[in-house]
Amino acid sequence: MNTATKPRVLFVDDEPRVLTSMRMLFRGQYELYFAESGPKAIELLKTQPVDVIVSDQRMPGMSGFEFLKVAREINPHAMRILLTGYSDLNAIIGSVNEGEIFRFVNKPWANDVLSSTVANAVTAAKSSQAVAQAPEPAASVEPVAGSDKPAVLVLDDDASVPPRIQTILGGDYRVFGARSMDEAVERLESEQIGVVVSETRVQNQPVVSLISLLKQHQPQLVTVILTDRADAGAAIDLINQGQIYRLMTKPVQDVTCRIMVNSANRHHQQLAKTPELHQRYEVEAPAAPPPGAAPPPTLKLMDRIRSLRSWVTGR
Amino acid sequence: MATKRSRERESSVLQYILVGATLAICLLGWLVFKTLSFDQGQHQQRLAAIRTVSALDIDLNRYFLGVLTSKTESNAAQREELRLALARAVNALQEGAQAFDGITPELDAAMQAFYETAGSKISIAMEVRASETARLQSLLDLPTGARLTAIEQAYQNWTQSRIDEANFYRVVLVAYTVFLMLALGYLGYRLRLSYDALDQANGQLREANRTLESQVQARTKDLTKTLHDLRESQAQLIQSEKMASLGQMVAGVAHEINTPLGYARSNAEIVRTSLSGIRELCEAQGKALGLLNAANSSDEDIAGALAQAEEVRQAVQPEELMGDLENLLSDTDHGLVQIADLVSSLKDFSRVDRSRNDLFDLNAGVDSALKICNNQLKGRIEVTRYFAKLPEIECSPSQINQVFLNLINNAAQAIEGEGEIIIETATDKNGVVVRVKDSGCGMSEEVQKRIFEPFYTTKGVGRGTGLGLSIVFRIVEEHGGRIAVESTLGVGTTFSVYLPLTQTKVAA
Repeated sequence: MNTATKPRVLFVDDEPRVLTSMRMLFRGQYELYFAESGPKAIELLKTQPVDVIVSDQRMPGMSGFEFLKVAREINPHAMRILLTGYSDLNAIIGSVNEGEIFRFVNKPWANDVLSSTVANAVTAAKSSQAVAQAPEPAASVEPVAGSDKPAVLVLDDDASVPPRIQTILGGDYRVFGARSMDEAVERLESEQIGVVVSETRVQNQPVVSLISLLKQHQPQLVTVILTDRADAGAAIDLINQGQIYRLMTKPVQDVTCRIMVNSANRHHQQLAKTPELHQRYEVEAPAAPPPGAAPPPTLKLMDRIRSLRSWVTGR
Repeated sequence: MATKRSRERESSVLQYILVGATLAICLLGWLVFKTLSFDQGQHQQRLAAIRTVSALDIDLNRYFLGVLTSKTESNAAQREELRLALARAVNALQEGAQAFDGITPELDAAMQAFYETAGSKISIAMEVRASETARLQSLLDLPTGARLTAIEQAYQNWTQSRIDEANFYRVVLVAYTVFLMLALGYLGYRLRLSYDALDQANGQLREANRTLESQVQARTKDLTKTLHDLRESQAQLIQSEKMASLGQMVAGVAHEINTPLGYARSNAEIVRTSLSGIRELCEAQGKALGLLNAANSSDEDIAGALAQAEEVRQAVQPEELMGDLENLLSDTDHGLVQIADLVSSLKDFSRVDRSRNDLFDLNAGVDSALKICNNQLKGRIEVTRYFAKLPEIECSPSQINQVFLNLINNAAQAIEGEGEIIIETATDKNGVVVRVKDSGCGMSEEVQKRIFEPFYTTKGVGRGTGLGLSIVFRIVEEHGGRIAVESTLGVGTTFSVYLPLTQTKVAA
């Protein structure tokens, strides 16, 4: 295998033994780069393009997500993976909204999980680089032709949230509300929704499996989480399995909300234009439900989502 | 203050009352004097004088009328009698004049008129002869009677006016007396009211005295309850602060454990996957060795087996692999030792296996606290320890460790970026002293004054509860020690904890 064609992966951790272990694990597969701190990694990134960055979260001086935020500015095409021994919620929210990370991997990690995560990241990075190198598609082609305004679906138990969001977004968007997952799927079938704003739990059921399924079958759909029940574990699941685009905490802040939905909508249009990018936001299969447990309500939604997919691809 | 003022007011009121009473009595006296000013004796004397003069005048007229009608000259005896009568008349006139002089102008005028008439009458009477009929007639014609009547009239007028005046003053006196009676009655009523109020106040005082004890008891009970509630909420707050710092500690410790655990696990997996290559090599070499040892194996078989073994060896590269695996295993070892160390520090730190009051080497406490918060320090802050050989002191090791952890955490948080913490232990005259010195931002004097207050914090919202140092203060105080702080803005801060060798009282 030619070295030049090997994917390049950068590992950042303040513990050199972790880096040694990574070197042993991935040697031969990738072209490996190592840095023991955020600033050293930034120096390296300035001269050396890489495809995937795997960073520790808790490092002295510069935290992992602070580093990934800078890394994203230097090298937006690299896929970012955060390796964490312990994460507080703020770090996770920051890493989603500002670091736009691909996956969270918990320490201690299983080598096969880490390997497949890095492999997925490499594939996604390659495909998005191909898009970036390809000539810009004609901007005039509007994939959502026929609907004048972009549509936003708000999935929340609280009926006051959708009108609130409509007020914040003003007349530029059509906002639809849904108080259950069934309602949400119906709405997704009848309207061409680009952005979903969702709570983490609806009717006492986590939405992560629904969002994960939606993302698998309709990759151009962009999800923004708006929650007052943020917890670190749920947030990590939503990122890994749902590839949520942004995470906001309630109470809703007008400016933040508008910026995030606008950005989510632009992102949706970009995804709709360039399907090659979908891989970049590929989700991890959700953990299988424990045997004997009642099937989550989303399972019966599968068929409807499949039909939705055919409806989308039929266009 | 209030009593003094009310006393001043009372004395001034008393003065007013005294002055008022004196004035009222003076007025009363004056009125009584006015009603009594008419002298009845003098009045009778004056009337008697007028009557005397009038009787003399009538006698005189009768005498001269007798002379005029009889035309007889009076004899010497008669003349002498007349002379005496005239003298009496003059005396009476003089007395009357004295009695009436200066009473009223009207009376004065009437008197004057009468004197003139009477004067001429007397002078005529002294010289007149019986023959001088005309002069006798003129003498008789002199209107002394009318003049006397005028005097009496004027006097009666004056008397009447005096009586009227006295009557007026009597009425005024009666009215004034009634007024005084009323005023007195009102004052009495007021006094009665005051007495009533005083009685009531006294009753209330007695009642208050009686209920005071029970009230004090009730208040004391309330206060005790409030104090208890306060203690409880303080304990809850301290508990929540402990939970918060526990959360931070757990975050740090979890990362500290998960990192070595991560590479240890990864290394173990790599070693296991590498084993398949080694096994393959062993099998190939074993097979070649077997063929070599076997008597009936052909050279070709041996050569093939050796070539295969060599091929596997080339693929596996055992020398390099063994070196790598040894490195991985020694890393794994190192990681496991690190985890074991950390767990042992956690145990040392929490001292769950020790009694509350124990003999404890503070140097060991500082070391275990340093290990616990190593995550905050490493790579950023250089820690220098100057440990003296310390006698073991009697204390609650878990609480004292909490003190060290809080002080080191504070020191680390005071340092922006890279810096230095110096921890020094020494013996003091009555015990030991531990100093934690940082090269951090320092504190102003205002901040230094307040740092041990509960809830006082200079950290941002969500970064500190402001209870850490108040807990430190409480623990040190409960151990009979003290804590001192020296700080210079921009230079750094030193906390000194002084602890006695033995506990005089049992730490609460």
